[in-house]
Amino acid sequence: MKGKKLTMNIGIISFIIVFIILCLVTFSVLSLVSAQSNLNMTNRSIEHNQEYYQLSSQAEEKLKDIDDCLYQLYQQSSKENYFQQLDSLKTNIPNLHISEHFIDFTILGENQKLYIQLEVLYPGNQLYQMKSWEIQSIEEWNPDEKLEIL
Amino acid sequence: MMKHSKTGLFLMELIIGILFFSLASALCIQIFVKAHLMNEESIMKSQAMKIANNIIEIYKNDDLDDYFTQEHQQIYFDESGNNVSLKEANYIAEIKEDDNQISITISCHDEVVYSIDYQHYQQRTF
Repeated sequence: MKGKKLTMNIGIISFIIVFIILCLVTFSVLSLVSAQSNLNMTNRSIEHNQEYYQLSSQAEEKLKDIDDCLYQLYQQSSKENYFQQLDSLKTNIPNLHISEHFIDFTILGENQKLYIQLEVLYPGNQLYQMKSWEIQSIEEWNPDEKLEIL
Repeated sequence: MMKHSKTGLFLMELIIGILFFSLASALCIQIFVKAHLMNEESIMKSQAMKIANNIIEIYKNDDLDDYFTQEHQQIYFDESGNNVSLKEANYIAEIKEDDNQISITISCHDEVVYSIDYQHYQQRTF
């Protein structure tokens, strides 16, 4: 008995505990990674959404200017030369593209742009009709294939 | 004597095992709690954003007066985004209307989660 070394007896309990700890650590890290990526995605979605409404606000301001200018034009011109004088809008409002009865313009943001097209009407009920309100991405789409662990 | 020693080793192993298990579980519980809080935060932000978007879209159609029965200053929503009374409210939307601009602030449990401004001009009609 005196010569016998006291060694650690690694039995079934140690194996079970090691297994349980490994499971716990794995699941907790997985849940943290998943929660982190969810939060990142939500934040990105919020940024995207805020940028969209910021661009929309700018577009609405421009629409108001167009509306005012068209109203002035309507008051100053006759039905015959109303559409011929549409080009004069460019002097008051920059970055407009006018072709025939259509006006289009683009509002640029950091990651997206808002393209708007209007059809100018000779005033009946309204001065113009919305033809297109289109959000487009500026950047080329690059799929994110990496997975950041913590 | 031999039997006695084996029981001692078994007990020692058990105690050390329990010690490691408690250390690891304390650490893991912290990680689980952190993950849970992060999830709660993203759900809260996402829901607040949806509520704000809905209000903006209603405002764009000039239906804000008809749609919500409460005073405009504050509108209350539950966790699914349904319009409810103050008692059942999880989210409070504070709305400030000024000429052609609307400012929306969404708070949850007295904490501001999301805020956005929007300008809207109604088209001239004849």
